Amino acid sequence: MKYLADTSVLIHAEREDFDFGLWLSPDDEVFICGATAAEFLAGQPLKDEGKRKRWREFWESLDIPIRPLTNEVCQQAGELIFLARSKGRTVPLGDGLHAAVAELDGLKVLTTDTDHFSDMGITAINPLKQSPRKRAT
Amino acid sequence: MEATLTELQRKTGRVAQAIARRETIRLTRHGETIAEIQPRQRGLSGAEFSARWRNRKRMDKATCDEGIAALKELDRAG
Repeated sequence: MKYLADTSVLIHAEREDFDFGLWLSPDDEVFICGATAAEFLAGQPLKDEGKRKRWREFWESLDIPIRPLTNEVCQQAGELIFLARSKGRTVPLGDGLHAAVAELDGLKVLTTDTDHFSDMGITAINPLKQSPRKRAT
Repeated sequence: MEATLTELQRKTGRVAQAIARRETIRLTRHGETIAEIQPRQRGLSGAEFSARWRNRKRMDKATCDEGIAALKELDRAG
C-alpha cells in the first residue's frame, strides 16, 4: 500500500508516541507532500525558542520524500474543495492539496482529520484509531 | 542522458533502457532542451519509515500541543 502522511497524523503520532512500525508493512511506501512541508514550517511555536528548536529537529529528522504541488495538483485541489463546498462543508486548503496529491498519485491519506477527506470523496485512514496490524522491521 | 527528438523516435530502445535505469532524459531540439523525463520519486518503504520514526528527534507533548493549536488557527484563517 502507498500512503501520504499529512501533518496532523505526524504530530498526533508523536504526541501519543504511536509506533508506526507496528502498523506499516515493510513493503508499504510512505510520502508526504509539499503542503506538509509548508504547514510544518508555518506551525512552528512562536514564543518559546526551545519548543521551536524541538519542532524543527523533529521535522528535519523525519526527512520523508516530498511529492510536489504541481499545477495539476493545485487544480484538482480546487475541484475537490469545491466538491466539499457543494455539500455545505468547508475544508482547509492544505487538506485539499493533500487530497489532490493522493488522488492523482494513487496514495491513501493517513490523517487524524478523516472527515475533511471524506467530504472530498477521498478515502483516508487514521492509524491512531486502528489496532496494530503488522510489523515493518 | 540527452537525446534529440529524432533519436527518441529511432533509438527508442536505448532511451527506454536509460529510463529503466532511472536516468533523467533530456530531450533536445536544435540543441535546446525542450523536455525532461524524470524517474518517479520513490517514497520510504514501510521498513525505512519505521526505522526513521524510531530514530526521530522527539518533541514533548507541550510542543506538540502548541503546534496543533497553531495549525488549527491557520486552518480557520483559511
